[in-house]
Amino acid sequence: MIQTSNLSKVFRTEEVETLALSNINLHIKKGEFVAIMGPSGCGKSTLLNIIGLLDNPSNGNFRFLENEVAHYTEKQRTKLRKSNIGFVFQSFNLIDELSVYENVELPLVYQKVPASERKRKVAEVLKRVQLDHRSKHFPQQLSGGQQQRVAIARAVISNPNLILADEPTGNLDSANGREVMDLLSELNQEGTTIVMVTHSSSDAERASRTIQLFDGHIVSENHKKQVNKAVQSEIL
Amino acid sequence: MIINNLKIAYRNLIRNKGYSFINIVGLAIGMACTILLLLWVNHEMNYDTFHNDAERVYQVGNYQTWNGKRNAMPNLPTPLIDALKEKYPEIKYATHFNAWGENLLLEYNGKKQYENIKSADPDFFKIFNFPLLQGNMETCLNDINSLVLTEKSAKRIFGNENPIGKTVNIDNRQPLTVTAVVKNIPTNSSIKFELLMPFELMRKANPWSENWGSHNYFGYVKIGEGTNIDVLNEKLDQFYIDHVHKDSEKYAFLYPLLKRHLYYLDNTPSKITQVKMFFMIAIFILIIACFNFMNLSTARAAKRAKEIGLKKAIGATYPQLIKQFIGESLLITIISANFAIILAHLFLPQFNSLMNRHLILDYSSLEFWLIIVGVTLVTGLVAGAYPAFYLSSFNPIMVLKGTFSGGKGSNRFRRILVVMQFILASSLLICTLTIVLQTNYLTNMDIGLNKDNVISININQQMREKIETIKGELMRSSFVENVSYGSHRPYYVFSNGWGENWEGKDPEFKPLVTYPYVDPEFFDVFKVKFHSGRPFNANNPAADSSCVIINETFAKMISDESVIDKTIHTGNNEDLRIIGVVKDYHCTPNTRKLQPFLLRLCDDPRFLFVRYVEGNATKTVHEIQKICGKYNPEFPLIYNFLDDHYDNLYEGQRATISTLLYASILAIIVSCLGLFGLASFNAEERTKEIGVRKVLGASMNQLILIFSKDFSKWILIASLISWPITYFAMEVWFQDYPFRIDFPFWLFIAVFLMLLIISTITVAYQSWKSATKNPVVSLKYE
Repeated sequence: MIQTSNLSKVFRTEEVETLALSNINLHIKKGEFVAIMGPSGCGKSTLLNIIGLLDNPSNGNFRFLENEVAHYTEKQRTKLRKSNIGFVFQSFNLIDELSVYENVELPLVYQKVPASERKRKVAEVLKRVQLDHRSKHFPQQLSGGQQQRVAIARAVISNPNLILADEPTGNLDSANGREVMDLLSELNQEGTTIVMVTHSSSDAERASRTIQLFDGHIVSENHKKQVNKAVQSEIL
Repeated sequence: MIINNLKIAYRNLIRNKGYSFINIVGLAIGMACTILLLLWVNHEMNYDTFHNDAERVYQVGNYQTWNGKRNAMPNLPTPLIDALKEKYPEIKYATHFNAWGENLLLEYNGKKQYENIKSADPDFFKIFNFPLLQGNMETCLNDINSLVLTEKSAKRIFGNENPIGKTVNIDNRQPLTVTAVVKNIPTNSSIKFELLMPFELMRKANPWSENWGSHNYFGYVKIGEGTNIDVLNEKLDQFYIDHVHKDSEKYAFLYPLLKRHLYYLDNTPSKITQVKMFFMIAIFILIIACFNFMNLSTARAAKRAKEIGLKKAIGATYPQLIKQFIGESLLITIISANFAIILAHLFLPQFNSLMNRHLILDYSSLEFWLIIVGVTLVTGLVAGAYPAFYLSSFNPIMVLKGTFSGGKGSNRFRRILVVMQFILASSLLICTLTIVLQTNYLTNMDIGLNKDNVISININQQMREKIETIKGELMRSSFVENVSYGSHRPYYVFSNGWGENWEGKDPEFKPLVTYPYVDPEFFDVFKVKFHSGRPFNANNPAADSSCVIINETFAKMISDESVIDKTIHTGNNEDLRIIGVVKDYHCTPNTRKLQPFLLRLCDDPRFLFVRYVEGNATKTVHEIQKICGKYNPEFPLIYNFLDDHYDNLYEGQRATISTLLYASILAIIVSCLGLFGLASFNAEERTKEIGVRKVLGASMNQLILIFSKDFSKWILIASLISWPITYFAMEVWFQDYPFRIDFPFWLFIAVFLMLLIISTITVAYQSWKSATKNPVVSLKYE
């Protein structure tokens, strides 16, 4: 589904040039649940933004769903993104002026889905995240966990092939965090590919593969069992 | 403390260049506009104040009664002024004044030119203090052959020679000797002259004016110190009854000179309406500029929140903070005031030509600085007060903990301000455009007679004697269709009376009837249509000397049936037979009702009218110059094209319209500046939302629409509110116009759309900027 080779990203300001990602070679198959870990500033979010077609790489190749997208224009990226990718952010990024229902509905509006179908789909997905009784509330009236569930509902409403989650539990307490992670695992088991950036080892444990980034490089890649071992050794 | 605050204020100004620019430019434009308008208002309010004891100077008025109503007139019977001075010791000085003057040919050293010469009695300079340059104020009009000049006319006639003692020749017969030169008449004088001769000369030349029934000249008096004007006016009310005729229906009265420029003689508003209107507009524009400032300052509150929270936490008190912010707004206002003075200085010449005034920014006058300091202080305080109270009230704990959600509370307030700005802008624009449409309607209206392709020529005594010969020669020219002469330009007749009687007339009914005097060709030259009857006999006019032709309006007053051959008995005891009724045309400007009028044959023509074959204007003028020159070699010809002259009647109204248009445009510019600032703030505030929407697939057009929708809503609300206000305001204005357009309701939509387009363009840049931002950047904000 996702294939990068020698992918790099450079940020330039007038004075400094920062290499955020360097020679990233990554292959993510359909249905995988990949966690990306690493210290702050190592390039996790930059990688996620590029995978999510929010940003272009500076160098290298990037194939997404069999398309070479590294040099796509903003418009082409938007088109591809709209129907294929759902986003979940650490800070939820719900629009305060819109109700729960309207927030979740928004991607369908931009995909020009007819109103009746939107209504059905939103009802369905809100039920799924157990917030159907809150559809008329506004984001500020919900707890953090509930807000993140709304964000997830919004991310899955258009049945994307890929969900990108940037520290989805970063702003939540452990109980709420667990709920959100349960939801993501469920979605993954139903076949949705998930790429998640996280600081939390216990969240990473839910993934089938963990990629460690350091200073813009991939330093290790562990499959689930190895992670478990690592976790064990940490505990020991 | 003050230094610290000034530093913060200065750094804020520098750091937020965009906001500072919008604030300062907006305020400067608003203040410059206000300064210019207030300068004009101040000028208009101070007419005639430069005379010593101006409060003791009065214009003599004359109430005349018709239709049971007292009507105030400035024209007086000539003997009245002498009688008033003689009978009432309270009146110290009195003078006649020939306010319109007479265009007379003045000759000096073989050089001839027409000059408008006015006349007054020797008391004139005891009542009015026009600063003297040369001569003796006390005696300069005593001699019957004296002439007083202004600096300007002296220069025009004598160049660099000393004019005192020099003699000029008037109309080739009357020598006058210059006795005094005064400084040019100030622009704020309601008494204006360039050449002044003794009124005694007028009396000698026009002995017919020495009767109580003829009203021709103005009069002014100065009353003694301590005189109670109300008591004196009560006495004057009896003057005619006591001294002229016991059944007289005329009443003399005195009206203060100081009010004369702003009010009519009957104390109804004249210029004061415009003064009030422009004063309001000055205030409106300043308010709009202040609103901008308030909007932008509160919108930026979130950015200042940390500073305020910290200051509060370390012990700043509420009043200290308020002082700081008021001080900041005063600093910005003072900077703006400097730009405003520069702007006012730059645009003063245009403003002057627009208003037909010679206003100056007199940096040495106290009044000027009072206006400047007043405008600056009011602006600084009004604009600064709300933001100061608002910003100072922040809760420091919330601010420092970062839970403060800057500026949201004042969102509604800002919207209200923007809506109010657009209410003002929309109202101003709708009113202005309505006035434009009404004036266009009046200028282009069919007034019932055709004035195109007609040249009017002023007739003097020499021409008058040869008028039939001149007319005959002109008619033989191949460029000329027809020629007529008369007493007035046909659409501008101000000769009237109410002495007519006819059979079956209610004695209480006294309509004011206008008297144009014409010749038999008049109807053909001006294409006046007949309702019934016939024109005057062209072959034998003498046969029709006691016949009249009246208009439909007058005919309806006389009878519902045919009035042909009925008799009208005039105030001068003449019986006139009606031989024709013409369709109504406007014999006075069409800002007045249709007047009843009575056309008689003219034996004292003042104007010659030549209708030429279209396209032959220049050739006809040459022809006229040739023929008139033959019979009138000593006087240069004075002529003009009638349609131009008619058009000029609306000059004053056009000046008002231009000023209103400029004011509306400025109001919109200043409003849009504010909108621009607010849009940029709004875009900033909604960065996250825009980012999220973009990530979810919103296109750029969809994003721009989100912004525009918001602003459009405000403009719609503002428009909806401004509609009834302007409708009722304009209906009141229309009451003065008997001929008017229907209220142009389509303007509502047109102005709304116009404001919508302008504001969309204004916010488009900001929305485009934020819509094209990389969403990754937007989302990092959190």
